[in-house]
Amino acid sequence: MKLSVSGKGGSGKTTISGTLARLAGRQGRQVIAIDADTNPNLALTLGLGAAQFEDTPPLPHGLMQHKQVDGETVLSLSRPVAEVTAQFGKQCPDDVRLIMVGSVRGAASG
Amino acid sequence: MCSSHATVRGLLHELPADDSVVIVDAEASPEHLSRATIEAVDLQLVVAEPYFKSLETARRYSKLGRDLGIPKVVIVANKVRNEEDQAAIEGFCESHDMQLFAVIPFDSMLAGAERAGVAPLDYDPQAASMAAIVAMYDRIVHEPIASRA
Repeated sequence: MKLSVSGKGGSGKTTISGTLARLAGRQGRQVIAIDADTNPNLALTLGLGAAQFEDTPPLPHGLMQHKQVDGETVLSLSRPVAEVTAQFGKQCPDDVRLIMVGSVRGAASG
Repeated sequence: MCSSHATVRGLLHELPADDSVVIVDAEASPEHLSRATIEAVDLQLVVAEPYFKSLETARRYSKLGRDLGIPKVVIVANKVRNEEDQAAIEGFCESHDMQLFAVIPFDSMLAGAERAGVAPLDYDPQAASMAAIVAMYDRIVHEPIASRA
Protein backbone atom coordinates (compact mmCIF):
# COMPACT_ATOMS: atom_id res chain seq x y z
CA MET A 1 0.00 0.00 0.00
CA LYS A 2 1.21 3.49 -0.81
CA LEU A 3 -0.23 6.46 0.97
CA SER A 4 0.47 10.13 1.38
CA VAL A 5 -0.37 12.60 4.10
CA SER A 6 -1.00 16.14 2.93
CA GLY A 7 -2.50 19.31 4.36
CA LYS A 8 -1.73 22.82 5.46
CA GLY A 9 1.49 23.59 7.32
CA GLY A 10 1.21 22.83 11.02
CA SER A 11 -1.85 20.62 10.60
CA GLY A 12 -0.13 17.57 12.04
CA LYS A 13 0.96 15.71 8.89
CA THR A 14 4.25 14.59 10.36
CA THR A 15 2.79 13.30 13.64
CA ILE A 16 0.23 11.32 11.66
CA SER A 17 2.54 9.93 8.98
CA GLY A 18 5.31 9.07 11.42
CA THR A 19 2.99 7.32 13.85
CA LEU A 20 1.24 5.37 11.07
CA ALA A 21 4.64 4.26 9.77
CA ARG A 22 5.65 2.88 13.15
CA LEU A 23 2.33 1.10 13.67
CA ALA A 24 2.76 -0.60 10.29
CA GLY A 25 6.32 -1.55 11.23
CA ARG A 26 5.12 -3.09 14.49
CA GLN A 27 2.77 -5.27 12.45
CA GLY A 28 5.81 -6.70 10.76
CA ARG A 29 5.28 -4.94 7.47
CA GLN A 30 8.15 -3.51 5.48
CA VAL A 31 7.80 0.23 5.79
CA ILE A 32 9.40 3.00 3.77
CA ALA A 33 8.70 6.48 5.16
CA ILE A 34 9.51 9.27 2.74
CA ASP A 35 10.10 12.74 4.13
CA ALA A 36 9.28 14.97 1.19
CA ASP A 37 9.16 18.16 3.22
CA THR A 38 11.79 20.80 2.46
CA ASN A 39 12.04 21.39 6.19
CA PRO A 40 12.21 17.75 7.25
CA ASN A 41 11.34 16.56 10.73
CA LEU A 42 9.79 13.16 10.23
CA ALA A 43 12.86 11.53 11.78
CA LEU A 44 11.99 12.69 15.28
CA THR A 45 8.42 11.38 15.05
CA LEU A 46 9.84 8.07 13.90
CA GLY A 47 11.88 7.89 17.08
CA LEU A 48 15.33 8.88 15.83
CA GLY A 49 17.36 11.02 18.20
CA ALA A 50 18.66 14.42 17.10
CA ALA A 51 22.18 13.08 16.51
CA GLN A 52 21.03 10.23 14.27
CA PHE A 53 18.74 12.63 12.47
CA GLU A 54 21.60 14.98 11.65
CA ASP A 55 23.63 12.26 9.96
CA THR A 56 20.82 10.93 7.79
CA PRO A 57 21.96 11.63 4.22
CA PRO A 58 19.33 13.05 1.89
CA LEU A 59 18.96 11.35 -1.46
CA PRO A 60 21.59 12.61 -3.89
CA HIS A 61 20.69 14.72 -6.89
CA GLY A 62 20.88 13.05 -10.25
CA LEU A 63 19.13 9.88 -9.17
CA MET A 64 16.62 10.33 -11.94
CA GLN A 65 17.42 9.87 -15.59
CA HIS A 66 15.56 10.19 -18.87
CA LYS A 67 14.83 6.88 -20.53
CA GLN A 68 13.13 5.89 -23.75
CA VAL A 69 10.10 3.65 -23.23
CA ASP A 70 7.99 2.79 -26.29
CA GLY A 71 9.34 5.82 -28.10
CA GLU A 72 8.48 8.15 -25.25
CA THR A 73 10.90 9.87 -22.93
CA VAL A 74 10.17 9.11 -19.29
CA LEU A 75 12.00 10.05 -16.14
CA SER A 76 12.93 7.09 -13.99
CA LEU A 77 15.40 6.06 -11.29
CA SER A 78 18.89 5.46 -12.58
CA ARG A 79 19.36 2.56 -10.14
CA PRO A 80 17.12 -0.28 -8.95
CA VAL A 81 14.68 1.00 -6.34
CA ALA A 82 15.65 -1.72 -3.84
CA GLU A 83 19.26 -0.54 -4.03
CA VAL A 84 18.20 3.06 -3.38
CA THR A 85 16.11 2.16 -0.32
CA ALA A 86 18.86 -0.10 1.03
CA GLN A 87 21.58 2.50 0.64
CA PHE A 88 19.70 5.64 1.66
CA GLY A 89 16.98 4.25 3.92
CA LYS A 90 17.85 5.17 7.49
CA GLN A 91 16.94 2.39 9.91
CA CYS A 92 14.46 3.66 12.53
CA PRO A 93 12.65 2.05 15.49
CA ASP A 94 9.96 -0.54 14.61
CA ASP A 95 11.94 -1.38 11.46
CA VAL A 96 10.84 1.68 9.55
CA ARG A 97 13.21 2.89 6.86
CA LEU A 98 13.33 6.66 6.43
CA ILE A 99 14.22 8.27 3.14
CA MET A 100 14.85 12.00 3.20
CA VAL A 101 14.20 13.69 -0.09
CA GLY A 102 13.15 17.24 0.31
CA SER A 103 15.74 18.90 2.49
CA VAL A 104 17.59 21.92 1.17
CA ARG A 105 21.36 21.66 0.96
CA GLY A 106 22.19 25.14 2.07
CA ALA A 107 21.34 28.76 1.43
CA ALA A 108 21.16 29.71 -2.26
CA SER A 109 21.71 26.09 -3.29
CA GLY A 110 18.82 26.07 -5.75
CA MET B 1 13.53 21.51 -5.86
CA CYS B 2 12.16 20.22 -9.15
CA SER B 3 14.40 17.22 -8.89
CA SER B 4 13.15 16.22 -5.45
CA HIS B 5 9.58 16.13 -6.76
CA ALA B 6 10.71 13.99 -9.67
CA THR B 7 12.59 11.70 -7.29
CA VAL B 8 9.62 11.11 -4.98
CA ARG B 9 7.40 10.56 -7.99
CA GLY B 10 9.86 8.04 -9.41
CA LEU B 11 10.27 6.24 -6.08
CA LEU B 12 6.51 5.95 -5.64
CA HIS B 13 6.07 4.51 -9.10
CA GLU B 14 8.89 2.01 -8.73
CA LEU B 15 8.45 0.80 -5.15
CA PRO B 16 6.56 -2.50 -5.24
CA ALA B 17 2.79 -2.55 -4.75
CA ASP B 18 2.66 -5.43 -2.29
CA ASP B 19 2.25 -6.05 1.41
CA SER B 20 4.80 -3.37 2.21
CA VAL B 21 3.77 0.14 3.20
CA VAL B 22 5.09 3.37 1.73
CA ILE B 23 4.16 6.57 3.53
CA VAL B 24 4.93 10.02 2.16
CA ASP B 25 4.99 12.98 4.51
CA ALA B 26 4.24 15.59 1.87
CA GLU B 27 5.31 19.20 2.05
CA ALA B 28 2.70 21.81 2.94
CA SER B 29 2.82 23.44 -0.49
CA PRO B 30 0.37 22.09 -3.11
CA GLU B 31 3.29 21.30 -5.42
CA HIS B 32 3.21 17.64 -4.40
CA LEU B 33 -0.14 17.62 -6.23
CA SER B 34 0.39 20.16 -9.02
CA ARG B 35 3.61 18.39 -10.05
CA ALA B 36 1.93 14.97 -9.73
CA THR B 37 4.58 13.97 -7.17
CA ILE B 38 2.20 11.65 -5.31
CA GLU B 39 0.14 10.44 -8.26
CA ALA B 40 1.07 6.79 -7.65
CA VAL B 41 -0.38 6.53 -4.13
CA ASP B 42 -3.48 4.44 -3.41
CA LEU B 43 -4.64 6.58 -0.55
CA GLN B 44 -4.31 10.29 0.17
CA LEU B 45 -4.99 11.37 3.73
CA VAL B 46 -5.72 15.09 3.81
CA VAL B 47 -5.30 16.52 7.29
CA ALA B 48 -7.65 19.35 8.27
CA GLU B 49 -7.94 21.39 11.40
CA PRO B 50 -11.33 22.79 12.42
CA TYR B 51 -10.94 26.27 11.01
CA PHE B 52 -11.86 27.69 7.67
CA LYS B 53 -8.47 28.20 6.00
CA SER B 54 -7.39 24.70 6.91
CA LEU B 55 -10.64 23.21 5.62
CA GLU B 56 -10.39 25.22 2.41
CA THR B 57 -6.85 23.95 1.88
CA ALA B 58 -8.09 20.41 2.50
CA ARG B 59 -10.86 20.90 -0.04
CA ARG B 60 -8.40 22.09 -2.70
CA TYR B 61 -5.90 19.32 -1.98
CA SER B 62 -8.68 16.73 -2.11
CA LYS B 63 -9.82 17.96 -5.48
CA LEU B 64 -6.25 17.97 -6.82
CA GLY B 65 -5.75 14.43 -5.51
CA ARG B 66 -8.93 13.19 -7.18
CA ASP B 67 -7.90 14.95 -10.41
CA LEU B 68 -4.62 13.00 -10.27
CA GLY B 69 -6.66 9.79 -10.18
CA ILE B 70 -5.76 8.76 -6.63
CA PRO B 71 -8.29 5.98 -5.85
CA LYS B 72 -9.12 7.07 -2.33
CA VAL B 73 -8.90 10.63 -1.00
CA VAL B 74 -10.18 11.18 2.55
CA ILE B 75 -10.13 13.80 5.28
CA VAL B 76 -8.48 13.33 8.66
CA ALA B 77 -9.72 15.87 11.20
CA ASN B 78 -6.96 16.83 13.61
CA LYS B 79 -6.72 18.91 16.80
CA VAL B 80 -10.45 18.56 17.44
CA ARG B 81 -11.20 20.09 20.83
CA ASN B 82 -14.93 19.66 21.26
CA GLU B 83 -18.24 18.83 19.62
CA GLU B 84 -18.42 22.20 17.90
CA ASP B 85 -15.07 21.54 16.22
CA GLN B 86 -16.22 18.14 15.09
CA ALA B 87 -19.57 19.46 13.85
CA ALA B 88 -17.78 22.16 11.84
CA ILE B 89 -15.61 19.61 10.07
CA GLU B 90 -18.49 17.20 9.51
CA GLY B 91 -20.60 19.99 8.02
CA PHE B 92 -17.81 21.14 5.72
CA CYS B 93 -17.10 17.59 4.53
CA GLU B 94 -20.77 16.89 3.86
CA SER B 95 -21.33 20.05 1.88
CA HIS B 96 -18.20 19.48 -0.22
CA ASP B 97 -18.58 15.77 -0.83
CA MET B 98 -15.48 14.78 1.15
CA GLN B 99 -15.23 11.64 3.26
CA LEU B 100 -14.36 12.27 6.92
CA PHE B 101 -12.25 9.21 7.63
CA ALA B 102 -10.87 9.79 11.14
CA VAL B 103 -11.07 12.32 13.96
CA ILE B 104 -7.98 12.94 16.10
CA PRO B 105 -8.54 14.95 19.27
CA PHE B 106 -6.43 17.92 20.31
CA ASP B 107 -3.78 16.54 22.63
CA SER B 108 -1.49 18.63 24.83
CA MET B 109 0.78 15.58 25.10
CA LEU B 110 2.17 16.43 21.65
CA ALA B 111 3.62 19.71 22.90
CA GLY B 112 5.24 17.81 25.76
CA ALA B 113 6.74 15.29 23.37
CA GLU B 114 8.09 18.16 21.23
CA ARG B 115 9.65 19.84 24.25
CA ALA B 116 11.30 16.59 25.24
CA GLY B 117 12.42 15.85 21.66
CA VAL B 118 10.81 12.41 21.84
CA ALA B 119 8.51 10.66 19.35
CA PRO B 120 4.89 10.97 20.56
CA LEU B 121 4.41 7.21 20.34
CA ASP B 122 7.33 6.75 22.75
CA TYR B 123 6.44 9.69 24.98
CA ASP B 124 2.88 8.57 25.75
CA PRO B 125 1.52 5.68 23.70
CA GLN B 126 -1.75 5.72 25.67
CA ALA B 127 -2.54 9.35 24.85
CA ALA B 128 -5.86 10.14 23.16
CA SER B 129 -4.23 11.30 19.90
CA MET B 130 -2.19 8.10 19.65
CA ALA B 131 -5.27 5.94 20.31
CA ALA B 132 -7.08 7.76 17.50
CA ILE B 133 -4.18 7.16 15.09
CA VAL B 134 -4.12 3.46 16.06
CA ALA B 135 -7.85 3.27 15.26
CA MET B 136 -7.23 5.03 11.95
CA TYR B 137 -4.42 2.64 11.09
CA ASP B 138 -6.75 -0.33 11.69
CA ARG B 139 -9.32 1.23 9.41
CA ILE B 140 -6.72 1.84 6.70
CA VAL B 141 -5.57 -1.78 6.66
CA HIS B 142 -9.06 -3.27 6.88
CA GLU B 143 -10.92 -1.15 4.35
CA PRO B 144 -10.21 -2.23 0.83
CA ILE B 145 -9.14 0.43 -1.64
CA ALA B 146 -10.62 0.22 -5.10
CA SER B 147 -7.96 -0.38 -7.68
CA ARG B 148 -6.94 2.31 -10.07
CA ALA B 149 -9.23 2.91 -13.03
